Amino acid sequence: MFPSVRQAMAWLHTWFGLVLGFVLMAAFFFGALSVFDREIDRWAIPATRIQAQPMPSYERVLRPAFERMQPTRQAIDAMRPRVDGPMPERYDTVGSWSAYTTHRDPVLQLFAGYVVPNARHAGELVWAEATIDPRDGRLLPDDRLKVGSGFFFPMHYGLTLDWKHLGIWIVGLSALVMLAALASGVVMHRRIFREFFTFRPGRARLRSVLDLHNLTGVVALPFHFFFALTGLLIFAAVYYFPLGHTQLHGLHDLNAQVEASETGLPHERAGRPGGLANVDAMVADAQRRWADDGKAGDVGFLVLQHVGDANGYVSVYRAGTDRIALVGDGIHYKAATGELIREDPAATPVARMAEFLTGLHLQHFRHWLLRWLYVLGGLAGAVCIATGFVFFVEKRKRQHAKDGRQGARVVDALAVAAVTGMVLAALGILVANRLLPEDLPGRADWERWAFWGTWIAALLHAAWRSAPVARALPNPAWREQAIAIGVLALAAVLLNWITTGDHLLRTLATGYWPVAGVDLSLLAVAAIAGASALRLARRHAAHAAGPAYAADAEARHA
Amino acid sequence: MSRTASDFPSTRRHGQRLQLASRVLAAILGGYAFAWGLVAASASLMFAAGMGFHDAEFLASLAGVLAFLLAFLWAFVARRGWLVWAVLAGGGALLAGIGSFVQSLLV
Amino acid sequence: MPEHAGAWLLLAALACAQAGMGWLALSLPAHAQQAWGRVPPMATLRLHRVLGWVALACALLLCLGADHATMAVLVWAMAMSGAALAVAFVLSSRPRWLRVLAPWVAGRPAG
Repeated sequence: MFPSVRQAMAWLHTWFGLVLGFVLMAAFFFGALSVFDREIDRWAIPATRIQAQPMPSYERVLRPAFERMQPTRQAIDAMRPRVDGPMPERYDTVGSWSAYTTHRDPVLQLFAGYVVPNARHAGELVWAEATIDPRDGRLLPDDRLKVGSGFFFPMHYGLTLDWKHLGIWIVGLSALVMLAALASGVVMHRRIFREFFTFRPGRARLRSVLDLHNLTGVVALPFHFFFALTGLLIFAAVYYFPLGHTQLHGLHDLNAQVEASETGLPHERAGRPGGLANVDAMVADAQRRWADDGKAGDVGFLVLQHVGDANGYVSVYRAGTDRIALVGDGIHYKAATGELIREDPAATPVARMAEFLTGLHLQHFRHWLLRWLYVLGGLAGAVCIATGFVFFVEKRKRQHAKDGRQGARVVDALAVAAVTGMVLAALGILVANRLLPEDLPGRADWERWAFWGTWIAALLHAAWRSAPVARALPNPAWREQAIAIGVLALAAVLLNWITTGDHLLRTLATGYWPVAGVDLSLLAVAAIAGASALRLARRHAAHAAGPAYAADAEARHA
Repeated sequence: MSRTASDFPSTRRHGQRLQLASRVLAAILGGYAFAWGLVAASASLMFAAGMGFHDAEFLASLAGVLAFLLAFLWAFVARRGWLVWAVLAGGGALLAGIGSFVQSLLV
Repeated sequence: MPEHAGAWLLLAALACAQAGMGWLALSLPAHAQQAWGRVPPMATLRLHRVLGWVALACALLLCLGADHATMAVLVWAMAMSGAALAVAFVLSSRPRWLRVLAPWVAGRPAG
């Protein structure tokens, strides 16, 4: 097909990189933002600007909160096609109640799964979610969008395209293509070790762009490779290779039965009612056992299974704050009596590897330096892809201008939308978050519209201004959107001050880092955008002084 | 001597485009089929050998993703397009068959 | 481990990673040329390469001292990426700054 392996790899890298690079930009950029998703949530929902809280008492706080929960209209409607028969108004047979928290969470998310009578798949549950203030169990209103963990994070792994999980599939294919792009990039890069530190910004544009592309790709190669790989593995069993629920469900069910009998944790309800002993006492006992094992820790995950049934049990898991694994060291108690059923034994080597691989991606650990290094890695990946687009356009625009073709122009406009446009969209939702009235009904939907609207506007602007590219000149949209980024970022900081009073001097003085961090990052974005706009303006002036001048300047630097 | 279709540049380009499209489909669909088959075969065999199901599933998924990557790259490097389809689709089906067979022995 | 002790260890690890990457860069003739205006002898370049790898190994040990092993290896890997990036940017703008890592090499006099 291709004359050589290197040329095959070059074709693959160029064309798959171009087409799926747009998706990968989103995955890397929103992934970088997701490192601090809970901090962005606090900026976006001022009512939650409190300190991070530990798992609260079940008896005092959680039980009344759980008892008030019911599945939403949407959850019930989504369930309807999988039910043969009428669906009840109220759901009182609880499959499981659970609460999950990390050291960065000021508010607590509760999950409740209810048994659905007449469900086609026996045992399938309909779910409800709630967010409460852990100090008093007060429910937080439903339509406060968690811009970080509830929008940027799902954007990162699924583009918020939920229809038949299409977005998750697209991102999954992109992740695989990322791995292929890394492998093919290494094959194409002839001097990978000698040019490891090479970046020559003074040279001709094509050379310096390629240098930066290679640098950001190679220097963080382990990061890029492992994040793409572990991202695929996290969703493998549920979405990409769901063999346990399809081809191999026989083995899956066999295993569930064996596990239930080995561990003493019943898989099914008994059908007889059972009481619930003091859960706080069980949690305290679990914490004592961890401390005895030299692993004193906080509760990360609390699950009550088969609530109200004789087979009910309570599981307490330790938060993996000090290590990569998310939660572990589960201890299980019989719900009716509080007696110990089982302490989870040390994980198998394969399970430990699985915990390490998924944990390194999902980051529930406490390590601020590592988090910021992750942001650096994510941004390096975004720069790698962005410079890939710029290189593609620069390499072809002169030839396309001569041939009267529009290809370079189209790619350039799409690249503007994918790079500066995407940043603008993220800023747009933050600005809208502060501008919209606090109790606007459907506020979350308005915020999402602000995001997509800003992005579409950026795309239209980029397309409208892209005519010069067809004459081998730069697209002014890059500079104009850089200016817009500076303006929006500053606006977001000012609006936070005006609407909440939590200006930088106050948040820095009280040491409230979540909000101070977001504001400082926004200021940094504004500064970088402003500096970029200035540099682009200077380059524009050189081009405007005449193509001969610009070409001469380039030749002198080459 | 009479001229054939491949003497005309436009039909040659058309033929090349079809070949390329076939390789792209083989890389994506064939690669996925092969990966699925590998996950099925290795998960069932490892479970049969005594590993816990979830452990076997995870390890098999790791193998599957890496195999998908290799299959994807090979699809563009291989000389013969039909061979790519045969190995990836055919191999995937065979491996998937092994997975179901092992399951049938245990359940 | 008290938090501040861990913080000092991590700072030291970052410094080692930075020095290590700097020395590895200075072991390449092209970058040594950028730093000093001339290429030092092979023996000096080899010295820089050894210093570089030793410093990176020290960075790993310091990371392991600060955190649980599973986190330490990730911190180390990412610190090396960050350090390499920093060295590349220094080389592209102020390459002579790297001279401080190898004071035993005489630079070409200015002018």
